[in-house]
Amino acid sequence: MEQVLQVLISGILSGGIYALASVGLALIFGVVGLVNFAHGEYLMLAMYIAYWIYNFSGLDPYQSLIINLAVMAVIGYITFKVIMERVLDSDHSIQMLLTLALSMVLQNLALMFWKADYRNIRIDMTNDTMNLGFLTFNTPRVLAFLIAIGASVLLYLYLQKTFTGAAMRAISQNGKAAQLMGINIKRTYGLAFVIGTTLVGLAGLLISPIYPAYPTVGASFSTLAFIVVVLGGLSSVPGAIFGGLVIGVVESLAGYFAGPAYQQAAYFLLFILVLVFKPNGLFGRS
Amino acid sequence: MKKNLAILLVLVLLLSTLVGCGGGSGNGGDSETADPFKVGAIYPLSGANALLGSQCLAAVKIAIDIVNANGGVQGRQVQLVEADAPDPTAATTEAGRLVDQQGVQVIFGSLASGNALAIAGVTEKSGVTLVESGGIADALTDSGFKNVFRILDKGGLRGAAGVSYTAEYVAPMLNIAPKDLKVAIIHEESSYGTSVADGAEKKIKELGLNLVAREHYNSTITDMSALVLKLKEAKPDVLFTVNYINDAILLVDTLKQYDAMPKVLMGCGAGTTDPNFAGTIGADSDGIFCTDMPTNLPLDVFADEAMKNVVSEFRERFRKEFPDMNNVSVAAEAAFAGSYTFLNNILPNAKTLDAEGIREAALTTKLDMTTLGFGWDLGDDGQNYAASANINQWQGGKVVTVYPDKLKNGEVINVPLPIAGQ
Repeated sequence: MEQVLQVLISGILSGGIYALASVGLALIFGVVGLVNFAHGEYLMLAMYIAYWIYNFSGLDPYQSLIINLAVMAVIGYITFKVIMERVLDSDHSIQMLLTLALSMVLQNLALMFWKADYRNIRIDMTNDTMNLGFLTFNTPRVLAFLIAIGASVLLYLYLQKTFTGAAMRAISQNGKAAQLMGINIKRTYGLAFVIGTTLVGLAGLLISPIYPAYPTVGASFSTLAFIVVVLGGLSSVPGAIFGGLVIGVVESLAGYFAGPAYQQAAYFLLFILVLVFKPNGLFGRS
Repeated sequence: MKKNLAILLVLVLLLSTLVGCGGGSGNGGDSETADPFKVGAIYPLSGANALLGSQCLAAVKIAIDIVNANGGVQGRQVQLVEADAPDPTAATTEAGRLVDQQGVQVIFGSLASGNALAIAGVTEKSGVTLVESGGIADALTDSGFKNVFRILDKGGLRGAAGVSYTAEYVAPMLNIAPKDLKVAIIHEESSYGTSVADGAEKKIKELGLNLVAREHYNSTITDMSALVLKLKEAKPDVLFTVNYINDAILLVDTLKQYDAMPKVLMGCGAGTTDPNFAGTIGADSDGIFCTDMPTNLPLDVFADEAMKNVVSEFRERFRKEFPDMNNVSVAAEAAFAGSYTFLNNILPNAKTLDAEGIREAALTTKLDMTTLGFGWDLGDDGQNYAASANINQWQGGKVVTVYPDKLKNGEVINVPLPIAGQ
């Protein structure tokens, strides 16, 4: 029983990070209507930024958080202005091909500049644990979870309580009507894109003390983020948070009871079941 | 007008293909000696395995340089065509390109077993030779390929080597009788991890050790908590593990976090031998075993003066190219040994430089020593049965060979591991 509880908690902790890596994707899809295949690459970029800052200045990822997020926001803004803005009115297939191409370009640029070496950040905390009764928690994972859930909830509140948040929700419900009501669509799109990339950057930064950065690291999280988002109902932020936690727990329990080889199989199975019985996702609108 | 242009274009393309083919088939004939002998090298130069892949390619280039400086192969200069294959799909495509468009007769590869199997599928059909010095999955030499030759040991044998050593040497160090020794296997689930683990399991049963758990996982795993907690319940004394680099690091980290490190951790190549492994986990690596082919052997192992010079020239040139590395990686040493031995010792014995002639030379040539410290003696399946795995151990950030005695350059330390859990 103790072991099962421990497994459950480690699943929830991973789930928090999956959630954070996915909310940005859900936001960008919901507001901008863009399926961003390069989403994982922003996670990779943030991990590299954390690594290089750590390497050159000794600031650990938590200390360099603000700088890192600012750089990610700028990168997000530039991507939007230079690339995404041009295809906002194009066909979905064109947008997808474009983001797919962007993902390849970013991966290969990373490979060219930083080579394929695994870049690890080993801070004193990397292997630290906290104990609560018989339960053991890895400190960076707990921190990552708390910050991730905190940021996701802040995003949710932002969407619910502020004017620009309301504008984003309006656009995601009906873009044309929102425009007629005087909402500046392009600016809101840009803002959503920047927030989305910054959040996935935050996820990258938070996992950087426990997982190495390398050019294709984004790809494995990208697949997961897509599953989480579809599970949660594509454009729903609370759905993505919930989906992330569910995937984390399912993965962990399957790993313990059936064996680690079945972790992916388990969440893919869940994914298929949800699509069959609730095609719009757990939190989706029909 | 447009139509004419199109026809012209097609004609030109057709003609260039024909010319290309002509050049290719001309290689085998008794043409002038200036005609270069084309070989290919397929390694992952991008993607997750690019670091070791680019080192392997550099090693093959050095081997070709040395052979060419000594007059080439049967009087012909060796010309290299390189290809990047981050995964098996790319390996298939690139192998096809090298064979059909470039007309190579020999391909060196391929670091990963999955890529090796993909390449073999292409080369075998076209009568092209694959010299493998990286992939150790059993299937590569157990599938009936006629033109695939593997210089290094195969997975099953490597897994078995670690188990035999454990039963004979590690168990007494732990003061546990082999039949009471609790062992577990954790491996990544590709053909590489599986064949090493299968070999280990077979040997464990044969020697009567106590197998308490066997688990496998996908090497892209990001959280090993569940796996480690499961393992913690089984309480093994010795853990055999087959991994790539990320998962190897993650495994050690997670074992430590849950205070579940077994008394002995016996890694089998790839991840636990990677220079990044000790570079990342630091002093915790001291005492972790890594079974792999011999590496960075002291030069006096080579009795032959010429071979001694070749090995030291290779190491010197390699270090110049990769100044950050304090040791030449195992993968690069193997890639060098495979390409150098084949070009320098096997091909000169081939009556004809086609698939049949090369196969005959590869199978009939016997060598007491290659630059890897073991000999060359192929079975009909193309496997080098003179190849052996060493038992190595991380000590102070370096790989030290502790077994077999004739190759060892240090004594065993840290059994049981100081970081072993309760």
